Amino acid sequence: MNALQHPWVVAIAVLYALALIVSVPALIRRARRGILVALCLFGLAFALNTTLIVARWTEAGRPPFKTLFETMIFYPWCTGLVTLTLIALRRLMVLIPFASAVSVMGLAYALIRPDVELVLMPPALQSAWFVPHVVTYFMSYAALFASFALAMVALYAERREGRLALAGGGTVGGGGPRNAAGWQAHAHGAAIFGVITLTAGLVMGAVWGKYAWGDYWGWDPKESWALVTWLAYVIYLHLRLMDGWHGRRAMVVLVCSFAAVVFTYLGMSMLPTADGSLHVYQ
Amino acid sequence: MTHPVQEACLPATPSQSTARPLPSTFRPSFISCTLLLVMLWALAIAGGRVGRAVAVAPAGEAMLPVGIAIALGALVVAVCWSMRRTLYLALTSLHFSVVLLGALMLGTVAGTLLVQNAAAEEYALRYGEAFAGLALSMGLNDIFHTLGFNALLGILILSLLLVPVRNRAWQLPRWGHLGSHLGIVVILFGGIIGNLSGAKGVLEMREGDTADRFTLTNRQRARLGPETLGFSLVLDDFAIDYYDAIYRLHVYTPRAEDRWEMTGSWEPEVDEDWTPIGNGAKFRVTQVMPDYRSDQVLREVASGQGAAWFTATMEHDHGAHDVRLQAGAPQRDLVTLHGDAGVLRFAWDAPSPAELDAAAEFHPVRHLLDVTAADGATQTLEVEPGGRYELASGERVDVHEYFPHFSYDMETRSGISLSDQPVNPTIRVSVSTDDTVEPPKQWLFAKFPDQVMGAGPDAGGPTLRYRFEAGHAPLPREVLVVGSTREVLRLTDGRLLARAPLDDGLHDLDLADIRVVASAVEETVTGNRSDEWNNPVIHLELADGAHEAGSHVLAANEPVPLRLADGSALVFERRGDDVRSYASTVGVVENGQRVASHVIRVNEPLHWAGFKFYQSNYRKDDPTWTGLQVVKDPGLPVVYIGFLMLALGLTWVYTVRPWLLKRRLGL
Repeated sequence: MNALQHPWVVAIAVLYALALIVSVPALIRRARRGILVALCLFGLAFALNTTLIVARWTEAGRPPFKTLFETMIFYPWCTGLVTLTLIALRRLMVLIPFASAVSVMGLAYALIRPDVELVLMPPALQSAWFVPHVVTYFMSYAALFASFALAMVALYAERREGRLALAGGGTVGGGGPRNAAGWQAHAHGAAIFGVITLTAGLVMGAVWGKYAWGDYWGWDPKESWALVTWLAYVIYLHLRLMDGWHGRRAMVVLVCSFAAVVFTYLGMSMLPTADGSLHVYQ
Repeated sequence: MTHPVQEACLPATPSQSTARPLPSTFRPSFISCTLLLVMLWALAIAGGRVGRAVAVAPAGEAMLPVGIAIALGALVVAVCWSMRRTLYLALTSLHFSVVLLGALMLGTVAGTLLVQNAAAEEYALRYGEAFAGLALSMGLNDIFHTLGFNALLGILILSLLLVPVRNRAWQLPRWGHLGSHLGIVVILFGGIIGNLSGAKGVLEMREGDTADRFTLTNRQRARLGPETLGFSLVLDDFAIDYYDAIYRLHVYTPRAEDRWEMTGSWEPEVDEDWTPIGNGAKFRVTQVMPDYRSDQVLREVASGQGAAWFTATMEHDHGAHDVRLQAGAPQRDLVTLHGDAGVLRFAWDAPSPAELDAAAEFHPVRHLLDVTAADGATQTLEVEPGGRYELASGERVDVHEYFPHFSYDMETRSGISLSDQPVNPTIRVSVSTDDTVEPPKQWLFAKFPDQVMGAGPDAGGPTLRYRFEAGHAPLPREVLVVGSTREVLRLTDGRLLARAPLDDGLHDLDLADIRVVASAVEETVTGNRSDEWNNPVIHLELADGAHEAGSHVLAANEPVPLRLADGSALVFERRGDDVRSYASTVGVVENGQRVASHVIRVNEPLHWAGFKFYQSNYRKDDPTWTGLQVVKDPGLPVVYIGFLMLALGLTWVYTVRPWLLKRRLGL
């Protein structure tokens, strides 16, 4: 029995989709019960997602992070973990629809283009660095996604503030800050966690590269784009320290910087330099 | 993640707020910082160009350019010094950092959009002659190692060294700032050290080879020359370890341009339920035999119902194989012995003296034509290929060709002979009545005398039948085993030389397990030998929309695709050999003494005396050959220290520092 057979993936995708459908109107109408239902659906989807990854790990006898298909199941899990953590710490229910939407997209891809059969681990990936490197990167990408989502909420909150100046209503339902500055701070916090893990992932990749190939840096397209992503967020960190770049503009930069993450993750095969790359998903 | 309260405690612009007051009116902006970066970049490139030109100029001619370069350099330094405060403020400004990081980002992106380090022809092919020429002259084929990119890194180092000074980063709360900024400088310095005093190359060895030097290579992997190691490496063993063979049922679907994509994969498991393949097709496996065999075994039967058999095991240099001879069966009653021992033949009855005499005689090959004329008269002709013969009835027969082992080649649409052995003796003849008409040719088969290929006999013409008499030459050496008397006869040129009982008559022939069976039949026994996946065969039922369910036997070692109605194909096959590991077992030899052994694998390099050896290559056609990458990188510890400083510094900035500030504020 293949742990990644369709029913499992479909079930998880449906639960995430339900969480998305329930959460959007509930958040807009501030319906407390609806938000709780969405959270339960999301939590259930996350639990099943966890089980699926554990089952696949057991079945494959290796970490299930090797192929694009496998990461399309792992990335939803990472965004789920970050979302649930932020809900637990900061009551940021607003992340549920964002995380659900990205999870549905990932799982839909997994359904459309599943791995036909288990891919065995090539010698280059048989390393103790594989799991820390990949997991750190995916946690970073999930945190940066949260910062992207929160930056959008912050931009939305700012527009609402300007137009309506709601008295004490908050931006959306489901808790969280009541003004744009609060949302910006949350987006920034997520970005910082993302940048720290991004740096750690980059450094681990370099150390691993040294062990595997004798080079800690080889200007492989994926490496280069990982650097571009890192530079984009480092630019954000510097911009944010400047006068006039604290609020709205910083959020726009955060939203735009996430494009670098997406391209680094999914866009490599578009590059003419991808042929010789050691990182490109086949 | 940082709490909003902590955020609020952070000074919004720490660099400005703690900047040392310098008497300068400079207000950084993106425009001014961009201009400054462009100027510094141009200066750095110009300096680099001049330096390079001076370095390669002949000694005598270098005086003037060196003088000019020094003068210009001094001028630049003087100008910079006069505006040092402005420069300092600009280089340490946030605006400049953003502009510089943006420039590095652009350069990095460019390096991924253009193919790097490829051959010049590839650029012409990809981008056209004109652009390729421009790109190559600008070094865009190796962007990350151009003067321009290195100039940016140089400016980055300068800025990163000045920024902590301006921000007084040695104070405890700012250690993170110090670490993250200087960390990058340290990494880049480590890289420079590696480039200047490191070495990189390849070491290619076969098992048993010893090497005390390796071949230096450059970035394009071109070989530069030998470099000594200071010790020797001996390759004891190289082994490629594969994952266990996996046998799967695969479905391939045709895609564009003769490309097939694997669209399904299943484990071959017996299952009562049908497994859908798609487009209405489905299959189920009814039997799996991992170690299928098909053997011909002898079953003894009552006398007269079977043939007589001789079985033995013949041992030779490369092992042993079974010998099974059937008395009286042409070709199956003899086997060629090794060396010049002749043949071993098995017969049930001992040859009579007359038969022995016949065996000693020599008979040539004979081609006979039995001709039946239209009026019923018969005649027999002995013919030779190339001959022409007059028949009694007046026609003429031409014998054109003789094919001892006739076969018809569909490609050339002509008759050929597959061997010199008279397996299917055939001749090509034509019958004619006069010379004016080219007569049609026909093939006559000795084994199928009633069949005629080509033009048949004319009505009213003669009918021809071909008979072939195999020639006979006495065998120079023959060992004849006689079953009924259990005797061994030794013959030379057909003459009986010796006679011995079976028990000791064959001792010089390396035969073992000798057995004579008076009456037995050969039977095919099929089945599964073991659970080892040596020769898996499955029984499978397949049904698709267009066809009714059919039963198939599929052997993975001889995969035959089953075509489905939608054009895709189902195959039972062995999955490609996936490599589990490449392992070079090496010994280190110092001063003639073997001092260490190590197995080098991917991800497990050997470190020895400043060198690291990485498993990097192998050859499909030479299993004893290994390719090792050799790297000497004295800058590596520096780089690692830089990594640590960067990672810890960044963490400090956003975790320890807010905590320290909070404590200081008494929150």
